[in-house]
Amino acid sequence: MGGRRRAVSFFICLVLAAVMAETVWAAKTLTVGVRDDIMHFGYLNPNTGKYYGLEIDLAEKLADKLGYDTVEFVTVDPDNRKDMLLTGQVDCLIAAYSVSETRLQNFDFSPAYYTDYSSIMVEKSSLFTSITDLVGKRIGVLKGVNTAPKLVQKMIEMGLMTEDDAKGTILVDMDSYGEVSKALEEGMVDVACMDGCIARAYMEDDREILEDKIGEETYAVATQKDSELSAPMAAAVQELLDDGTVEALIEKWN
Amino acid sequence: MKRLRGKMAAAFLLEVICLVVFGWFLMQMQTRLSMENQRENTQEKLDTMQQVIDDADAVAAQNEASYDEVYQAKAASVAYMANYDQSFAVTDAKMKELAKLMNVNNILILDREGKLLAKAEKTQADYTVSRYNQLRTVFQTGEPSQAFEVEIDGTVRRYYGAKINEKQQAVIAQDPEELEALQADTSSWRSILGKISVGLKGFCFAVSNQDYTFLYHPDEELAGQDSLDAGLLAEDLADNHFAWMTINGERFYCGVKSIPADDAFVVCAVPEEELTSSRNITVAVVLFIFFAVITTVVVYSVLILQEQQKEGEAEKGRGFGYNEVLGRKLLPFSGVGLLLVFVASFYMQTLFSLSLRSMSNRRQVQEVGDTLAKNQEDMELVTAQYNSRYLNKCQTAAYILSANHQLWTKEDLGRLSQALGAEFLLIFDKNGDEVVSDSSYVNFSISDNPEDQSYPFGSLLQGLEYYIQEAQPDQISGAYCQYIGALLRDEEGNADGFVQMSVIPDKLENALQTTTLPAVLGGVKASAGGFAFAVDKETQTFSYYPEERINGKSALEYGMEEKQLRDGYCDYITIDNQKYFASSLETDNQYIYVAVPQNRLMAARLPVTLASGGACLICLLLVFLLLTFGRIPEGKMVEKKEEEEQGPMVDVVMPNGSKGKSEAAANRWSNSGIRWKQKTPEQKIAALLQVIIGIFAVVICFAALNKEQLFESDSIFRHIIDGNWERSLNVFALTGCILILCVGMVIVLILRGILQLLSRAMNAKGATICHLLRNLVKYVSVIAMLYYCFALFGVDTQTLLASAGILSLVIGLGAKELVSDILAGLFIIFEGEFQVGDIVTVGDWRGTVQEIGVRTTKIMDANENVKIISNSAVSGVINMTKRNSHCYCELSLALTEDMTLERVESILEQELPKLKEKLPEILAGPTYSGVYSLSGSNVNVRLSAACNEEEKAILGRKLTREMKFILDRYGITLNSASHS
Repeated sequence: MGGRRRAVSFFICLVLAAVMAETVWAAKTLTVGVRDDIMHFGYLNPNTGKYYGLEIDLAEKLADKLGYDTVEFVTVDPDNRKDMLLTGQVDCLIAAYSVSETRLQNFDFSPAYYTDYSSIMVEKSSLFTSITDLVGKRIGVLKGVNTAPKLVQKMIEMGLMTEDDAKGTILVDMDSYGEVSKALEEGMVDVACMDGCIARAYMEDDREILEDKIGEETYAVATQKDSELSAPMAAAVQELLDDGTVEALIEKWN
Repeated sequence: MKRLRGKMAAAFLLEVICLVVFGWFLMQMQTRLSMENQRENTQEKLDTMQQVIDDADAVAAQNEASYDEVYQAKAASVAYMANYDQSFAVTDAKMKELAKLMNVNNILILDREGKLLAKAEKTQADYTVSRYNQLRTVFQTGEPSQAFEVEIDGTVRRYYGAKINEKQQAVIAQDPEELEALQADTSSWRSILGKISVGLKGFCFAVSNQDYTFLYHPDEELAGQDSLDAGLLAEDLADNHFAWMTINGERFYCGVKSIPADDAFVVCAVPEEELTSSRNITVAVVLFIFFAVITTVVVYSVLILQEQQKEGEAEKGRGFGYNEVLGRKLLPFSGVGLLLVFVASFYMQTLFSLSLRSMSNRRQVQEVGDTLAKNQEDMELVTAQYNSRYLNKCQTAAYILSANHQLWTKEDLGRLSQALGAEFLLIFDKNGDEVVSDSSYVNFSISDNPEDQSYPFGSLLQGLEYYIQEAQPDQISGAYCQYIGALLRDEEGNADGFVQMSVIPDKLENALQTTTLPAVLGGVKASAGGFAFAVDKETQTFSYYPEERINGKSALEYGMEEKQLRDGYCDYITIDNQKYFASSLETDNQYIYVAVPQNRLMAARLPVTLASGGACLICLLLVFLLLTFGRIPEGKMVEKKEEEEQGPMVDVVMPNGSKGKSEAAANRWSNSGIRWKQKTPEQKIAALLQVIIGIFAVVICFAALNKEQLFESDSIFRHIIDGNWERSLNVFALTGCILILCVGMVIVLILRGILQLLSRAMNAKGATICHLLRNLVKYVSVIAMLYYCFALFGVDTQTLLASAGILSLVIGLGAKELVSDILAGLFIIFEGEFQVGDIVTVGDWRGTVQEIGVRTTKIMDANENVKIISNSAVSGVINMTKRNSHCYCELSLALTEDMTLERVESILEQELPKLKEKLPEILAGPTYSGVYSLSGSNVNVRLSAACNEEEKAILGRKLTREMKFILDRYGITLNSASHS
């Protein structure tokens, strides 16, 4: 008798476990790689432990569209975002990730949801007013992003320097935007060159963004090459673009 | 009967429905009213918000400008020294000395490329980089450079450059801590929003429009937290949007203003309870009145219907129709009820708008007072700050001029003045005579006359280090300026005359501008068109009034009264023929008022009253129709005959000929009540109303006695009870009276109840005293309450007391009778002449004492007629209440030969003992008392029996009857009999 009862309870446990597992699997979670340091795009408020910004809202809207129940945000930075997506630690990147030829080889990109320009930020006290002042100066840029080449290209185009002779202009690579900003504040670099959205986040009353715009960047959602998510994600972004949701979000966070 | 029950149920159901609907309607209306009021109030705050923020920003900019000016002047004076001071050297030691003198963090000398030539303290900065390009502007312009800040490893320095020559510049690096503290005081969210009050308990907070975190919240813990987590909804945060918002579980009525320049939403929030607390009491009172009215109507009509039914049981009505009798009786009730609801609603609206207003006025005026007090401090602080800045300049000048006598020329002084930012400099020698100056003053000497402006500077000749004179118009030129003097020293360090500097303190004036009375009062924006003004205590003139033409005029001439010029005034005032509701506060030399125009105050009162009255009318109409339409009983039944059951109710014919029912007089006086069933519907209704009013009074009494527990200190109920209002004929005094009456009534009721209980338990004497005490309690409480109410209405109670003395004299003369009655009553009771229940004969009136009152005694005879005798007229009383009375029976017997007296006596002896068993009234006896007269063959014998006084008469009659039977049995002829 005792044995049978034990068998019954074991069976019940098994069923319960199966049901619970079922419910856990049923809750679909979209893991999104986002930035935690770009105000208005992807920003992690240390007080609240929550992410805010255009890309966060966008991620939530997309997850909703694609039928996910919850969104999990994972902080990525320019160094590790490629690996994170390649290794599948995140399902997609919505992290001010601009579309470029080289990236297209590795990833699928959705239609672009935001167009940005690289900005040149200077301290007002340096009295720089245009790109021509930058010759022979130290330019702070973030390691691994493609703003620096574009700036150099622009300067060459403007005839300020040649490919052989940089005329003393130095590009200073740094590890984070915070560091770039700090160097700018302390005068270690004379100008900072970064994506427009990021520059805006580091804007202060004492600083200025030069009117010269260099390079156009389009931000899009990146997914693994030829993954199942790629097509629906692209469609969902297109839908949000078409119904004006993206425009409203940009309006809200601008 | 069944139908009536159905109708009753329907009527009560309808009543409940009406109550619920009416309550809901009132609630909605009142909430909307509160919200609209609040919305208006909040809107006004929101409208000024941008202006307030801009003003704060302007002040901040001004602060920054004046701060920068000071340090630019310091940089300029270093440059001046570099050029003209012989002792100047580009060394670290010299820089250190100067930094100490000028009270700055660091002084640097840089060359054109930014290379460091000399410094006062170590610095990590590399001044050659483009970050410091701003400093190098001095070489192009020759002017001091614009300030800018650089933060290196957490150390912030604000830089000011001044050109020395084409190759070098002087740079001041200063920690902008003081500036930041100043800015935090003037332009931070805390300093701006913290000062804005919304409603009574409301506040402002700011939320970032980017990440929805709280930028500022009065609760420090919330600052930086996520507002959406706290309960706000993102869609509510829109410009000029009003909504209910939840913050950490508490509901607020909020208005939102978007401030795009600061990436923020500013929200003015008022806690829900502030809106509802006033609403709840208002609704409760009006609803209660409505309940009383509708219950009365329903119960009354049910009672009448019951009566009609009872009378017309036999006939089944004549079909449906309008019950005219009922309608006629119900109509006045409904009308009066409706009027009551109107009055109550109007009254409550008045009460609450006024009390809310007076509370918010009081709070506002308190805030103004606090601001003024704080401004006084600020003013001193700012003045001290500027004084020290000016003094530092002057000391710098003294430092330079002490060491460099070659600079004592008009041209050099002019340059120095310019570098220091001073108007001009004057150098005086040891005797107080002018040596040189870049001003137009020539050969000026320090005056010996204490009246003169220059006199105090003489103290510098006695060795005082420095002297700062208050800013004032110059005695000679009339220009508004400030003089500062600092001691000059010769090479040995001894005093050697002094240098006097003149500055135009426009920056100081600007800084102080915001702290003046007009600036503070002009900034007050009370809701509903309110404003603030001030009256000077001494001159009783308006020291500030928004209208320019009234400003400075006599307050009394413009309609204010002497009694209104005091601290804590809170009532209507009239200024320039305009009526305002105002609250006042006394400061050192002003009375500050916050006033709101009367017409704005009561705008909502009439519509709301009409609306609630209208709703009440509809409800009453419905109930009325339900009750009066139905099967009508036969008409004649109305005039059915009274049942001849002898109840306490009697029919009376009124003077106007109408018939009515009345309680028998005897019943009214006796303590015994009438049984419920015997009451007329009107009496039942009266009883019901008594109960309802009693409940109301008890509730109010309870609330008033437990005000601390039940109400918060700034609730409206507390405002009324605590009596922070003007003692005059106003709505608060009226409410106060009602409260007093309620409390008094309850206490008197309880006291009287206790006395009645006591009187039942006590003997006759105790009962009499209790009765007297009950009367006493009644009269005393009425007089006390009247007295108190008069006091609330602002009647001078002292005068009232004095007039009470006169009054008693008048009474003493005019109502001598009354006094003697009262005294006689007291004597009757305390000497125990008779008591309630005694059988007495007063004059020709014999009866039972019913009541010994304060003024009269009531005696009821066997026929239950009551004679009311003034106490003073009670004399020659025969109190027949003794232990045993004796009943005498006199029999006139005819004696014959057979029936001798002896025989008769033996018969009586034999028969009399049997009578005692037959007649229970007999306490002892009867006994044969002998013969008391003889006439011929007639013999009159007397029998006596002990009995109670009240049974004496009846016993006499019974005894006589029994004797007749006995005598007849023995054949004795009874001629006549009498008893006494």
